[in-house]
Amino acid sequence: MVYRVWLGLMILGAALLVLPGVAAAGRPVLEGYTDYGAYRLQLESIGAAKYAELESLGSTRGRRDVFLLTIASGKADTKPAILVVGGVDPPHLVGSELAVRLARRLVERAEEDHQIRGLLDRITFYVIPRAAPDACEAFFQQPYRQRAGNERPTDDDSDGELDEDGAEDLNGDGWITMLRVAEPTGTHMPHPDDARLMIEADRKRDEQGRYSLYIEGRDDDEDERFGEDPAGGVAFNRNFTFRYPYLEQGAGPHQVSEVETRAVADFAFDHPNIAAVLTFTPEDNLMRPWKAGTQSDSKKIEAKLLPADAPYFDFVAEQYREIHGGENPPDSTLGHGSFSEWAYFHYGRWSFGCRGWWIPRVEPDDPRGDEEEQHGGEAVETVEDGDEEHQEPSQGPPEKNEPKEERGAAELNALRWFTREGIDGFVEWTKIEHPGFPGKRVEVGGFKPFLRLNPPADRLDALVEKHEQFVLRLAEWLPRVAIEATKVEPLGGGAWRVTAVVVNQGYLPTMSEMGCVGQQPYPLQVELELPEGVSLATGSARGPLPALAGHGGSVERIWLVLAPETGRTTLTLRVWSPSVGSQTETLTLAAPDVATMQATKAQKKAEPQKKTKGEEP
Amino acid sequence: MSHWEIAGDLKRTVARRAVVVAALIVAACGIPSAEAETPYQPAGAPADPKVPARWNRYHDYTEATELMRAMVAAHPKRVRLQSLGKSYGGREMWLMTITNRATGDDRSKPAFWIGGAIHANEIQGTQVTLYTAWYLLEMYGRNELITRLLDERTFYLVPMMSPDSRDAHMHRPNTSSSPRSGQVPVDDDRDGLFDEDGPDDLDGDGHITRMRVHDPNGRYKPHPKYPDLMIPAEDDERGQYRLLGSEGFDNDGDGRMNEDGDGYYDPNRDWPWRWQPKHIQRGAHRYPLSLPENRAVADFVLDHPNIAGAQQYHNSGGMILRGPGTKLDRIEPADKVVYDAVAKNGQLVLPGYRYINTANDLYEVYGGEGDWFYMMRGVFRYTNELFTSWNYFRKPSSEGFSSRGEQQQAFDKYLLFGEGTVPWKKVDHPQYGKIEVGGLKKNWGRQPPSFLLEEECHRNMAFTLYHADQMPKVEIQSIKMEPVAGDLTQVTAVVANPKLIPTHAAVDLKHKITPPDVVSIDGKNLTVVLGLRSPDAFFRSAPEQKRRPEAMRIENISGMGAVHVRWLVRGEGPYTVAVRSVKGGSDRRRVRRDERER
Repeated sequence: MVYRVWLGLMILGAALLVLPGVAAAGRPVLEGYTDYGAYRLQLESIGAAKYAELESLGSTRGRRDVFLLTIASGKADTKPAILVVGGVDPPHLVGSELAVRLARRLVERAEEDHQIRGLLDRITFYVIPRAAPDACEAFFQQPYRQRAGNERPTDDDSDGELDEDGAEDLNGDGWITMLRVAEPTGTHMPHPDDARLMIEADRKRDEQGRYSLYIEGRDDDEDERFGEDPAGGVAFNRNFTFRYPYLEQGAGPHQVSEVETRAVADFAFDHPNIAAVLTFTPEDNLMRPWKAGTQSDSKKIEAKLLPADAPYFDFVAEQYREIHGGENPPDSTLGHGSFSEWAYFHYGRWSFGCRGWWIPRVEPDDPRGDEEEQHGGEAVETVEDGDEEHQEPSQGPPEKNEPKEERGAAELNALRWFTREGIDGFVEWTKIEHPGFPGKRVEVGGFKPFLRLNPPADRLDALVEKHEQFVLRLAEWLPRVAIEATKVEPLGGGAWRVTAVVVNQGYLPTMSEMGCVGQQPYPLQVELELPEGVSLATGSARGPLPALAGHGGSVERIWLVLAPETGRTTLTLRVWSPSVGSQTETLTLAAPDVATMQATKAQKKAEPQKKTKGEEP
Repeated sequence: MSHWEIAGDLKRTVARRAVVVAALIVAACGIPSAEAETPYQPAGAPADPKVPARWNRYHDYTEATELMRAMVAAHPKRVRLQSLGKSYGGREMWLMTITNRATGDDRSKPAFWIGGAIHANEIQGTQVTLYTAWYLLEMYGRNELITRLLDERTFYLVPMMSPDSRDAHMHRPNTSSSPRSGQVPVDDDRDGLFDEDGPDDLDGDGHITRMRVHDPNGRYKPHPKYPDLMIPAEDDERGQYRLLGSEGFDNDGDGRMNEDGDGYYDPNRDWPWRWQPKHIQRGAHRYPLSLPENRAVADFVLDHPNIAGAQQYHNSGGMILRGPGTKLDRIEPADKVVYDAVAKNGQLVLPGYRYINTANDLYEVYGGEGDWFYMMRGVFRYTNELFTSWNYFRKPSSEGFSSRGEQQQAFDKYLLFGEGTVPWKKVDHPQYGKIEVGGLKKNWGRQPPSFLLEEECHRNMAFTLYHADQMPKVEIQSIKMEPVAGDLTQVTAVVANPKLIPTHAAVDLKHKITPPDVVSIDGKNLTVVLGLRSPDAFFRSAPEQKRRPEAMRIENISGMGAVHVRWLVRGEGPYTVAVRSVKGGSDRRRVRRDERER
């Protein structure tokens, strides 16, 4: 009963809303989002700022640049860096918008805020705001259809023809929605609470399907399938090597086959100083952290977060949730060839992914919703294809006073949210004549694309502030090494024992466990520079150090040095890795006199105390 | 170590080879060679070729390039030379396209792919590929089978899949096993320096051999009969030497030797199918086809779906390898029948070669080139591991793949007269002091000696030509017309594939790689009412194709099989029946109405 009333209210509300007319060509789905031309201008203006530099990593098939903004003070590539990537999943354009705004804020604040400037002395930010620019343009082109693929022509249905059966806007409303065809062989039926929603009939409940669903369009190539070979292409977020979806639509002819994926992958490999990656993407591991697990595959092909890395990921995710404040996030998408998972499993970096925004939860009995709760929400379907896999079932609490109908819960919530926000996000089913289904009742309707993935633009500034806060905190958690407790002991006759302890004072380990396994980031290197006439009794002056755990993980190195017995010899000790940074210390070998002997003894006493402070890795 | 140095090598090589080039040009102008003057010559390769070439020697990049150019100059109607792109070191990725263009361009025919020496040290792979090109061109018009093959088929050949390292192997100090990698620098030890600590030629003889030091507590001793060979001392016997690994020293002062040489990556772990990163598959580079040489080749293959058979040449061990490369896959049962049938011929013509599969009989390979051809392109391919220790004394030998054993030493002593080995000699080592270096030369161990090389080229070519001849070939076998009720006529066409290999491998159908074959009927005044297809002549439960029946889509035409297509047509006038198959070629036949009773 409650539902009937609610439904009535909603239909009334929809009718009363004065909605903008059909968008003209080139108009965005949502005002305030930027098409490629405007995006390019934005980046040029950001790139002109003092601490920013703009460059193109490559030009796509659609002749759009994959832009990189480098935010740094002085030399960028010699400092540990955080790579921020947006626009990997083009229908989720909010990711690109957040990345651009994040870059702009960092650049603007660097000019006025000495704390940010201080950070840039240590850390570089690389921002690739729109990794897949071709498909992002679908947000600005009528008829609107979510598109992940770039402009490579493909033969999705293996019939020898390229892109010959796309979707068509049959009702001329500017949106590609769905066709429903009434037929007794159909698999779908109307939702009991809202007849507009189509749900799959359940044999267990003795339900009968009445509708067949198709993408809005014609069977252009007469193969009895609809819209199965549309324009586009290869999807950026399905083109990376981890869990690559071989031979599937959008995966491309092979991994990293496209200009944009190559550009981003090569940039990453060419920049060993990248320590962490933040991606705006549906493969979220910040609201819903990855579950660690033992690797089940006998081939040692990692598929799960390594247990040793789990505490760090959990902590960072907890901090994100606290900053973000959102609730009821949708399930994390399990990627196939996704960028952010690649960045951990195959690139070996600390890789964090987040959607940034999702439809908040709107209670059924309160269509105005809770104004405070901008980011709560029930699990929301994010992909129209329906073939998305989930890592784990929705963990939202069961709703009170509601029939136990879980099918369509996210869609119903989306409809409530549309009503609350005054968004015309659903096309009512309307009858059309369709030559492909002679004599049958065919209707066009359903959710408009994009609107369940992207918020109105007026929400973006508040969102970017949270992500800025997060990324600045992330910079503070990066590993930082210090050379602690150097010790020079004269052994007599020109022999010296030199000892150094290297400590990680940062929160994160110097390498993730996955990085150690995959041998991707550089390990810490230690080098003792020996002047002319100085040599080692054994061992080598340079070599790698093991990974150091966070908050005090340490390692000790000892050299036996042969130097002139008299006079002063200066040695330079350097510890470095591109993704951790560099520390240098000067050591002096001087003929033993009373003063230095005492100093050595004092140091010896202090040593054990220092060691107990640190945790062993 | 950098590619600049290689470029320098290249320039010097160019100058040095000028004489050779001049000789080849003279030959290409038709001056008969001396051999041609005696009419009695052995069967086999022609004694009076237009392009004189010796097949008991190796060609470096420049020489191979000139040889290919000479072939083009002598046989311009049947061979084209093009570059698929540049290698990392700036060399051309040469592709030879061989077919009789008078009977159709290369893309219109089923094509056979041959790639040589993706592991550049496996040097004879290039020779076999060059020999195949040369033989096909020289024997066209002289030999019936070769003539037919070039009329019906296309051959795409890339003799040097890794040209930079081919020259590196020949012109810089190396072992017979190096460089397996290409020359893109990789910081193997991740210390910020690239390729800074490879092997070093301590005695300057051009070969990287082994190091040993005399040590009364060492556990090795010289072989009593072949003193160049080091063998372990008996358990209760004192040894004389300690072995110190490959010739080289610690160039970068990190306490390790030879840990960051050329590359390192394995170009044959760089292909898309089942690719895994380097901690799972040693040798993987950044991502599949991240190497410029492989990318150029893959782009060409992807753009030429008419490739229906493939062969790769490696060394060594005497193997005819098929997939799968990993235990995660298997060859489809129907495809295995084809693989076995072609390989049966291989075992006949390649004595001493074993027909085995990579994953289960050798080792697992993730991201191998061969699996990509089969799994993602639907192409039957073999990899031959050239040269076998069976050839030492023409009997089974336990000394297989890159062995160092008594039989190898005996062969060196009695057939090569010691030319295969560098005897131990004293050198000064910057870290070890006075030591000795010695061992196998880089051109011996995995490669045949001169007098076996030509045989290896010919026998392996013979195997690939058999394979190439078994590629699918569609042909319209018969067209029959019969009147039906009213003004309807029934046209039945039989389209056959009289070859061993189907138009679509089972894996091709499973992975939906190649579009269907199309059998079509087309006449100006003809309307097609109905189209049926059947595996036999009886049409007992033949599926109808409702849409576009004039172009019947045929999923597959099996090896030694046929498809029967039947149309009911209305109308008058002549018409054409045609078949188009991506991997099986095409055929067409024009039919006049008065041929009705044919």
